[in-house]
Amino acid sequence: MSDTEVEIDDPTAVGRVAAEDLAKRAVARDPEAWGTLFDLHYRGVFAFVRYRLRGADEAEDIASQVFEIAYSRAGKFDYRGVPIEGWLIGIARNVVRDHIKKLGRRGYTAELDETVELSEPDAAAGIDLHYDLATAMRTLTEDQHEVISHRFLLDRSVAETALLMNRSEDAVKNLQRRALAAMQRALASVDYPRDGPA
Amino acid sequence: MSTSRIDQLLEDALATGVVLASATPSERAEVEALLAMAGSARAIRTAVDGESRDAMATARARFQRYVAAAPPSARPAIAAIPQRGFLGRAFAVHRALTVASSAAAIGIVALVAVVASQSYGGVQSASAQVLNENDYAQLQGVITATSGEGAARTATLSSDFGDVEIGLSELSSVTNADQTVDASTLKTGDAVTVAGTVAKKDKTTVIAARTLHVVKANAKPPEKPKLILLRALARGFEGRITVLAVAKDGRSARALVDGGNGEQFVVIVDAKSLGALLNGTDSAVGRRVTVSQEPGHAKGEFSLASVVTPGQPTAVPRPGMAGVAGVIVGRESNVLRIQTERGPVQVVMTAETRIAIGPDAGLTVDRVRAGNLVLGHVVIVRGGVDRATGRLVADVIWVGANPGK
Repeated sequence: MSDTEVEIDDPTAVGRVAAEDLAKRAVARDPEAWGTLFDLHYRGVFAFVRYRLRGADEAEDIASQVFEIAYSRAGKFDYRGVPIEGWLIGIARNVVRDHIKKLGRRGYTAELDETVELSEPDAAAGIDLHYDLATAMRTLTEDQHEVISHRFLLDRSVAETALLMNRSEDAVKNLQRRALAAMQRALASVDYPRDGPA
Repeated sequence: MSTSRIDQLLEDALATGVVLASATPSERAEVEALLAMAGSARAIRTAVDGESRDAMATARARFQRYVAAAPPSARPAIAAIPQRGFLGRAFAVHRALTVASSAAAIGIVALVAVVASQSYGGVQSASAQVLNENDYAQLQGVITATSGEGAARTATLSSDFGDVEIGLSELSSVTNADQTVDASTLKTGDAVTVAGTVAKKDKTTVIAARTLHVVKANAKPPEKPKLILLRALARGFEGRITVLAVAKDGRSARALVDGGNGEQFVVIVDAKSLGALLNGTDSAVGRRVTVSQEPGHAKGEFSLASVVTPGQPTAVPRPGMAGVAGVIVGRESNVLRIQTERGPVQVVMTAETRIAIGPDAGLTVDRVRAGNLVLGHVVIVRGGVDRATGRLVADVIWVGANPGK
């Protein structure tokens, strides 16, 4: 090869080819490909599981498990037309579900309910807001939680969310409205005990 | 009003920030309420972004260990999730305080507060935690046994984290203070510094040596320290590097730092520090460094800065460590032409070469491998000399900024 730069005429096509190549290498358990996948998708997986769990440490652990499971099952992944991120989110959904079931069986439900607040905020007002929102998000169904995560926490478009959730765009729009309405109702119910109905 | 109309009105409002003028008053009220709810959900994103950024370095290191330890065939992931309840959290704090107080009592390490630490142990050996398969590694130790003849000689090395096997081949360069020597001269009691790549054979860690430098003879094997994964620091401390490892994908590096009180800390090294540690004519092993956590570091990631004492070398010189530093001035296929202070050097980049990207490089590993966008960039290379061609075969390449841009 001479000292010339590579020309890229069609970035979209190159992106598609690159994504498929990455998926193929992931299926073959190429460590470098998995390093790239980790860097690309860890944040998304972390955010996805975060709101169903008690704290950041637990989310870190679950998100790590998702990648370990994905790696161990890499040979079963069919990359044709399926975004690898959707596959990771599917694994994350199952791991979180199993985890919450285990907590329930061990009698940790009460602790779970009491410690859902996020650990980050500095301002007292922020803590209340986050606590209430986290509580509200815990009232959502799995699908509603997923659509809120994709659309508002990970800033994905309706089309991207539809692809990842294997639904139509209209179904995603409908689901996001119902999810936001459910959160609104949950927040309203949180307020009742404070103000006290007349 | 139909639900599909409200769905679309909401979607339009989310995209533009305003409710369409054609909406009826009741539609507008409903959509505005939902819009406010979406805004609240978005507001938490910053907090979650921060958490995931903090978790990234530790999680990546864990995943790399998992990949390195997994056999080629599928292996079920560990399903058990550590539950840290009230007692667990209290114990974690106690453990951190124990580490800090013991260090302070001995007065050797200025380690003020390891706010979260994890002692290595359990089913996996410590050496398996420090070095992963396919790492590039620099380490030290004392030879406790040798076998084989000539270039196929092997040696057992008692290192700071356990025994490892050193494999020598025709690609290995063996030196002492004066000259290149034959591998057959290695003997029990030789204190050595080794650089090479890590492999696993059954349960044994094997280093395929590129360079091995004999520091002195008749040395005693090191005492086995307590190994601790460093996760956070309130203030920096000073120590001496005993191991430096760069992962296969070049995205992370670890160092084992001797705190001087029988404890050694496994430290995840940031990209900038890695370049400095790889640079120089000596090995990173033996170098005195200050370990610190800087603003902007991800959780569990640290800076390692060499401690410079006037008139004193930062490390014991290890002339056997093959490497160059310079600027890439040309590329022909997988051969880089690097202009160094002493003249041009040809460096061979193989599929096995680990590529680490410095913070100011503005490149990705794939772009380094694929094209000539690396021209003009500063690089630091470590590897071994191919005697047949005289070229440096790179085990690890650290790519820095392009001063011309």
